[in-house]
Order: sequence, then C-alpha cells, then structure tokens
Amino acid sequence: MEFGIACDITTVGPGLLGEIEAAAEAAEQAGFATWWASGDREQAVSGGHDAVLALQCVARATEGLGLRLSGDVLSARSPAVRAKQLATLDWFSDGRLEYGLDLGAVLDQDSGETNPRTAAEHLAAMRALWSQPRAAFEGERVAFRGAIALPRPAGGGLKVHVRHGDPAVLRMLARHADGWLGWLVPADELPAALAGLAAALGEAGRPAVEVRRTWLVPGDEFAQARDIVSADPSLGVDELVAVFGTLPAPERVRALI
Amino acid sequence: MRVGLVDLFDGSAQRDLAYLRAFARTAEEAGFSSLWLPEHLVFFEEYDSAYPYPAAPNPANPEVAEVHTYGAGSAPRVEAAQEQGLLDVLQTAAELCRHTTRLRVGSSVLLLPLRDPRLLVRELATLDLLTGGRFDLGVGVGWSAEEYAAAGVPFAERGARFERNLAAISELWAGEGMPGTGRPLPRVLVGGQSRPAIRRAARYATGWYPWNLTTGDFARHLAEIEAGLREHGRSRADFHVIAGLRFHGAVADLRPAVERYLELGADSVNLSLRMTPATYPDTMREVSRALGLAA
Repeated sequence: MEFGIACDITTVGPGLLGEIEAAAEAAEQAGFATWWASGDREQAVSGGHDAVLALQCVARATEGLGLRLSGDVLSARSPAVRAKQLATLDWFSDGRLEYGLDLGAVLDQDSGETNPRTAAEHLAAMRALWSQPRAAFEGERVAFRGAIALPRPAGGGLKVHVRHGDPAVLRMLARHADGWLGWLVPADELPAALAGLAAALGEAGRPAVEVRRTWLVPGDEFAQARDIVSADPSLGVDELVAVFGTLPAPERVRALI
Repeated sequence: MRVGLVDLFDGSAQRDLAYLRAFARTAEEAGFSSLWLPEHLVFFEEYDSAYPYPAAPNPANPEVAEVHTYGAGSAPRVEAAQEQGLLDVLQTAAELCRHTTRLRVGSSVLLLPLRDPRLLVRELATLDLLTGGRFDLGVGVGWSAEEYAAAGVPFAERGARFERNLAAISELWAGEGMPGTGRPLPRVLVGGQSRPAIRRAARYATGWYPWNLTTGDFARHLAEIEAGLREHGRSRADFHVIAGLRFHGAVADLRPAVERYLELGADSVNLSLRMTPATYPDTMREVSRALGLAA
C-alpha cells in the first residue's frame, strides 16, 4: 500500500512558496508516494490557493512525488482551459500528474447544470485534445475539429480518479475513471462504499483490479486508518492519504510514517 | 527606458525547462523590464476566423504600417508553426519569476471571456503571492471563433462576457473567500485598440496594451483613453500604457522607434522579436546594447 498527503493551502504571507516546497520535500524524503491538492469544493469554503499553481510548487521541489488533483468540479470549468492547464502541469512535472474529479452536486445551484453529464462531456473533450494530433469532438456545448493542443500529457492523457458519490456517480466512475477516491469516507462506511463501487464496476463489466482505490482520511485519523486497511486486505485499498485543512509543517509530515 | 519582450514557451523539446529558466535570467541580466506571454488554448489547421493584426509599423518609420501575412496564401494568419504549442500562461509566469528576482511577467494577452472570474481570481491571488507581486494581467477578447467553441463559450457573447469578467475581477478580489484579500490587485491591462477595448480600458482597467499601432494611431487612441479616464474621474498618473510591437526590422532601427512611443506617452514598449533557442542570448544582448538597457 502507498501513502499520500492531501491539503488545502491557505497561507497568505510571503513565505507561501518556501512553506510548500519544504513540506513537499519532507513528504518525498519520508517516503510518501503522492501529494494531493484540495478540490474546488474545499477551496470555495476555505479561500485556499489554486490547486494547479500549488502543485507546480510541489513539482519543482521534488523529483518523483506523484501529483494529484482531488476534486475538480469540471462542469464549472471550460474544457479547453482546463486541458491546457493540466497538460502544462504534467509538462512541468515530467509526467507525474493524475486528475481527480468531484461529480457531486453543483456548487452554484443557480447554474441548473447536471454536473455529471456536463463533466463527462468536458472530460471527453479534454481527452480528445490530449490524445489526438488533430483533435475532433462534437458535444452539446463544446465542439472542435482540427484542433492542435500542445504540449500533450506525457502519456497522451491523464489517469482520472472520481470521488465517491451516489450510484449515478459510481456508474460514471465505472465507465470513465481509473481510480476511486474515498474522500473523507468514515471508517465505518468504508465497506459499504467499496461494495457500491464493486457493484457499479460489475454492472459496467469492468474487472475490479482496473480501478485504483484511494482512501483519504483526516490527518489525525491516519494511524487508525492504516491499522484498519492493514488488518483487512479484502478492502483492497491501494493508497491511504492523510488530509489536512492547512499546509502541514515538515515535522508533522515526517511524523506520519 | 522600460522595454519588455514577448515570446513563446511552447513546451517543445527545444524549449524545455532549462531553456525557459535560462531565457528569463538572460532577459533580466540584459536589462529588460518584463517578459510577456501570449495565450492560445488551441491552434487549428484551418481558421474561418480572420486574424485581426496582419499589419505592423514599418521598423524604419513607425508612422507607416506595412502588412505581413504569415504562411501560405494571402489571407492574414496568426504567426504560428504547423505544430504550435503554448504552455499555460500562469504556470509559465510562476516559473519565470521563480528563477529571477526583478523581472515582471505578464500575459499578452489572457483570453478573459473564456475564464470563470471566480477561478481566475483564485489563480491570480496565488500567482501574486508566488511571484512577489510581479505578475501583470493583460486581458483580451481574442479573435478565433474556433477557440471559443473548443472552450464551450459562445463567440457572440465575447464582448459582454469580457466586460462582465473585467468588472468581476475587482469585485471578487476585494471580497471574501479568496487568498488575495488585503493585497492590491495586480495590474490589469486591456489589450487591443478597438473602440470597445478603449472604452473598457478607460472604465475598468489599470492599463492599456495596444498591439502593432503606428505612432500616429497610438497617439490618437491614447488621447481617447485619456478622455475616457477623465470622463470616469480616473487619474492618468495611475494608469499604465504599454505599446506592443511585432518588430521585423534591423536592430539599428529600434531605438528611435521605441523612443517615439515613449515620447507619445507609453510607459514601456513590448517587443516581439520571435527569437530562436540558438540565437536568443545574442539577440537579447544586441537589443539591450542598442537601447541602452543594461546601463
């Protein structure tokens, strides 16, 4: 099993850059595999920093730490803008980026958008831009033909993770994603959540091993969660991530494992 | 004399991370005041949209415009390679500032109608802190309907969206829920010289960034800007004016041309020289000497 760090970053002083770099270096040196940025939903509440620019700082300070977005509300984002931003971050990090989606209820209730359907269209458009030399796509809101979007992600695309949600979200995940994110799923709800995932994968005819399972827990529950997944391998958790509401100090990162 | 450079960081193997960092340091050492980054989210093999900037001032006589068409055929085209890439403007700005200490970095220009202002202001606030306040936001409407369709934004709404987003940037920056609260908003310069661009710059922005204007047209439009500022009770002293030029001529012609725009009221001049990875250090130093920038 691998371990990761996730955090919102709310520092507003001039030391922001140095603090991010120090924490990221500590995470890599301590043996963590990944660094997860908070999602749109968390940043809207906390007033936290932009996830992509923060991850770029993490990338600059490390060599092999995986970079992860944990919760883009993609229906509220332009696919061409987001495709460019993510391809660029992948370029700056030499191919270390994976992408996390939040398909829960829309943040702006006035928009009237059906979040999962719009997000699926935007994701399909982005994947076309990332993978096709002369990209073509025809959707309800987005259309292009002969589009050149360079640079493209190192692998011709990014692995996509989706946060746990209702059965509709899990069906979308089963069709479109490479990973499941149990974002702050309580320990006593984890078996049921994973059973829901397994059911959705079964309906979609996808083998369970194709989808990575990442469980993200509050930082102060990390040790307990580690014991839970170690004691029950049948849960199939591939990665355990400690979530912090603010940027953790290097010594706190080192103390986790 | 403040002179900036406009250049492309395309994410190609020839323009890798080491190139990007060396380019920024060389520009800073040569005395340039700023680097400016164009934005296109996607390019296209074919455009139905007309490229609006085919003419540039004659290098030897910037009173006169001359038309440059790029690529095959006679229709004006954007000056782009067949496999043209561009890195995201904001991340590139962060990287350039990380490896310099004085150089300002700006967008030339960011396509504002394609952005959600709430997301953009969060990005701006983060970038402002990461760069120590060295980022300037140049914004424009763009010209490619194809690019709008790829972004999922109706091209017909571009003017209204631009104006709405421009006004929203200041409001959101001053509000809560953003990491920028309490610091001054970065400079916001409206790019272009259309009548709406001039009106919006005078009303909402802290600067104006026209492109490829002859000196006569520059002076005429600047007078319109200044009239607009007076109309809105705004101070010219706090307003930035940057003349942008695609310079095709001999380096010897640069100094009189740049000085002319500065005499007419520009605070600085941005030059697009389209340098290559092989020649940019020599070109920067030659231009710096010609303009007396490193003195």
